[in-house]
Amino acid sequence: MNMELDSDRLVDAYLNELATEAAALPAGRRDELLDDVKAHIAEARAAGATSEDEIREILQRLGRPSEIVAAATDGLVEVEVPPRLRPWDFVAVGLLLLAPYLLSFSVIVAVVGWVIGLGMLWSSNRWTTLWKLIGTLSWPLGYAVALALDTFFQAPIGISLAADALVSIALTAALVLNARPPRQTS
Amino acid sequence: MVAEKVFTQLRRGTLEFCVLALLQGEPRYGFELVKALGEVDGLVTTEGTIYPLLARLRREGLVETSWQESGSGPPRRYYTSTPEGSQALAAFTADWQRFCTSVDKILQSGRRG
Repeated sequence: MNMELDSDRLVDAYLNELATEAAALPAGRRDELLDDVKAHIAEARAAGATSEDEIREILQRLGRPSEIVAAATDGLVEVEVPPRLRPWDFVAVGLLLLAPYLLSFSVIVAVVGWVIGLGMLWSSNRWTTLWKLIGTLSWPLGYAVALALDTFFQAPIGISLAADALVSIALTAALVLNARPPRQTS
Repeated sequence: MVAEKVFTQLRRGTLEFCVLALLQGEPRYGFELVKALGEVDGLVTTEGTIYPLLARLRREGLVETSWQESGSGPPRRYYTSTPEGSQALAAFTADWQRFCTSVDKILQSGRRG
């Protein structure tokens, strides 16, 4: 019982190390490699390797995880994947979403914050013009929805405010999800 | 081992053809293939590196894979040589034999002289 647990722990530690080493590989290759090595160990165990020493020998024969990953990267140029959103873009989105809520605190702060957010949005290379427009309109649209609810349906103020927030958050979420790093020319 | 670096390079270059050779005629699954290569002296030092090699051969279209159920454990990924794989192996085998003959001839003449 105890023996089996120790073997499991050895295997888990080995696979964890392999997963860490393989993090730089493209996802498809990484998963395939991990599956293959996992299957190898399972086959060896099914073939009768149970004791801790036997498991240790199997892992030793497999080689160090760094060696296996090195073989997988052989001839493969590692591509540095640019992040979808940089801190700068997060600040832009954050300003666009939150600056309007500062209206009750100070109109100037709210408007200036929002305009800075707009400037950052339009100078970023993470969005197409269409998405920049949507980002620009997220506050006005939310406000328009709230106003419409208030004027045409005499909705309670709470509902109007909630609708405003919902529209802004939905549009901002869509904006974040549709951020794309520029295609690399290489 | 003498000239360890040379043999590391040689192993790296020839292993894929050894894999192709083992896959002529019959499909084999990963573990079986690794064991077969591991039983030969001095060919494979780290068994785990064969899996990335197999993945590369598949990407290059030299082997094909298919999944089959196994009686004793998880499903197995079977590898078979494609016609391109057999062709590459035949070409390598011819070059390799010529290469070995030439090296042997020089090494022997060195010993005699």
